Amino acid sequence: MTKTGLTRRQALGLAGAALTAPILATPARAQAGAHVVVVGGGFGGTAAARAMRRIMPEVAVTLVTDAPTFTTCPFSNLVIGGLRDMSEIRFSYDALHNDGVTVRLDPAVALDPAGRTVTLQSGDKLSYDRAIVSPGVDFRYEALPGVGPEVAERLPHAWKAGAQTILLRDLIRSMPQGGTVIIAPPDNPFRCPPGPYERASLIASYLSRHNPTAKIVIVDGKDKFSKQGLFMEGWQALYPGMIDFVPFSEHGGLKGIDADARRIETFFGDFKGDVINLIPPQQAAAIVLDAGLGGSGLWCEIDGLTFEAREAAHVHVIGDAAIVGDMPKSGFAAATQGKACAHAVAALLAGREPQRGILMNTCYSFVGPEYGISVAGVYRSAPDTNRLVSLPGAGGTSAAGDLPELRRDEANYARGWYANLTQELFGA
Amino acid sequence: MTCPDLDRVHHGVFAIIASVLASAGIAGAADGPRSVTVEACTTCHGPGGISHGTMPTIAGMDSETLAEVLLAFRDGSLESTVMGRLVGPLSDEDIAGIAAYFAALPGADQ
Repeated sequence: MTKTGLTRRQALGLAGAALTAPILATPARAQAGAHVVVVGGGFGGTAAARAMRRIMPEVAVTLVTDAPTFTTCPFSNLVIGGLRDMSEIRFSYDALHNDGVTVRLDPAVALDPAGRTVTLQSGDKLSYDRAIVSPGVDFRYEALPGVGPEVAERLPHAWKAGAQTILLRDLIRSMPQGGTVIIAPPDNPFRCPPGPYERASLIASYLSRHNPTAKIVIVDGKDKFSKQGLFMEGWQALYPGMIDFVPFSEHGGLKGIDADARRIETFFGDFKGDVINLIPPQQAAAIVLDAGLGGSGLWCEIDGLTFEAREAAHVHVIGDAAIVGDMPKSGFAAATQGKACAHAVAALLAGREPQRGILMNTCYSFVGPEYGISVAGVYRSAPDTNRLVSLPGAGGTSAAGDLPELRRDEANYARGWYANLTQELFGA
Repeated sequence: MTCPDLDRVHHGVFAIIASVLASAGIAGAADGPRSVTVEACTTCHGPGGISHGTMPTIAGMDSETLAEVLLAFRDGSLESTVMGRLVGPLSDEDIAGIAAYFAALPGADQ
C-alpha cells in the first residue's frame, strides 16, 4: 500500500478531473497582421507551415516552393529497389491550402534579412515578420574532380527524389547480368547519413531477385558510416558476398571521374561500374549562404532554442541546411524541428519566452523488405548555450545480433513511421 | 542487494503525476508548458495522436494506462523496439504532461 495515502487509480482520477476543462486553452495572440514566410516545401517547411497555422491561426503563413508536388527522399530507396511506386512517395500541398497556408509555386531566390524580404523567381517580394527557411542542400560538384552538375544525367545522384530516382532505378533494371553498381557517397556532413547504405541494401534486394551475380561496390568518402554494424550484419545475412564496402582509407579519395567509361579513379586504384550512383558533397542551399547565414562555412549555425540564424535576426533556419546541434540531417529531424520552430516563432510573435522542450529523431532503414533497423536520438537545447544536445540515457541503434523478429517488427514500424510522418505533413 | 519495491515506486510517481496535473491544468494545451515535447510523439504516432500505420493510436488513451506504459518503457520492464531508447530523459512531469495531453484528445473512433 502506498504511503501517499492515495492509490494510483485515485491519484490519476484526480489528475483527470483537473485536466479536462482547461486542456484547450486559448492560443496566445500574435501581433496584429503578422506574416510568416516559409521557404521550402519539404519536411521542415511543410511541418513548420502547418504547425504555425495550428498554433497561431491568426498569423498569415505563406509557403514558397518550386513544384506542385513533393517527392520524399525517405522511401525513395524502396522505389529504386522496385518495392514502391513513385506515386506512393509523391504528395500535393492540398492539405496546406485547406489549413489556410498560402502556397506559392514561385521559388525563393533571395533573402534579405535586413529588409525582411524574400524575393521570388517571378520578381515578387514578400515581406515577413519572421521567415522560416528550410531549403535543403545544394550539391558541390566543384568539389569533385573534373565534373559538373550535368554528370548527374549519366551518373545520377538520386539524392533529391524525383526524376533522378527513376533514372537510377531504370539504369539498374537495364544493367547486364553480372554487372556492377558503384555507389559513391560523400564524406560527412551530408543529407541522410544512413541513406547510401539503405540504398545499397535495397539495390541488393532487387539484384538478388533479378540479377543475382551482380555486385555492388561502395566507394566511400569516409571510413565509417551510420548503423554500420547493423547494415553489415544484414548484408551478410541477406546478400552474402554481394556488397563490398571500400572505406576512404583504402582508396585515398577520388582523383578522376570518367562518365563515358563509367569509371571512378582513386588515388589507390580504379573502379569500373555499369551503373554509378555519384552522391556529391553537399552544403546549405544557395539562398542561405548568399544571404550570409553560413558565416564563413557551408552550413547555417542556429540557436537551438529558437532556430534563429546566428548571423541574422528574424530568420529561422531548419532542416538539412542548418547545423542543428547533435541532430542529424534527416527528413524526420527536419519535420520535428519545423514543429518546434513554429512554437518558438509563435512565442516570439506573442512576446513570450520560447519553451525548452524535448525533440526526438527516429530514422528507420530497410536492409531488406522485411528487415528494418533504426537509430534514435533525444535532444534538448542546453540552458547555457542553447545548443541542441543529445540527452544521456537515450538514443542509439537497434540491438545487434540474429534477431529476426525484431528486424521484421522494425520493418513494419518503418512503414508506419512513413505513413504517419507523411500524414502529418500532407494528410487532410 | 534488495529489489526496490516497484509498487511503492510507481505509487510515488503517480502521486507526483497527480500533483503536476492538478497544478498545471494546461499541461498539454497548444501553447502549454509541454507543447514542444508532445510534438515529438505525433511525428511517429500520427497527427493528433491518431495513427495511420503500425504505431498505436495514443489519442484518447486512458491517462493512467499511457503513463504506466511510458514508465514501464523508461524503467525497462516493458520491452520495445524503439520506445525504450526515447523515453529515458523524460521526467515524471514530462510523462504526466504527455499522458494528460493525449488522454484529452479525441481518439480514432470519436
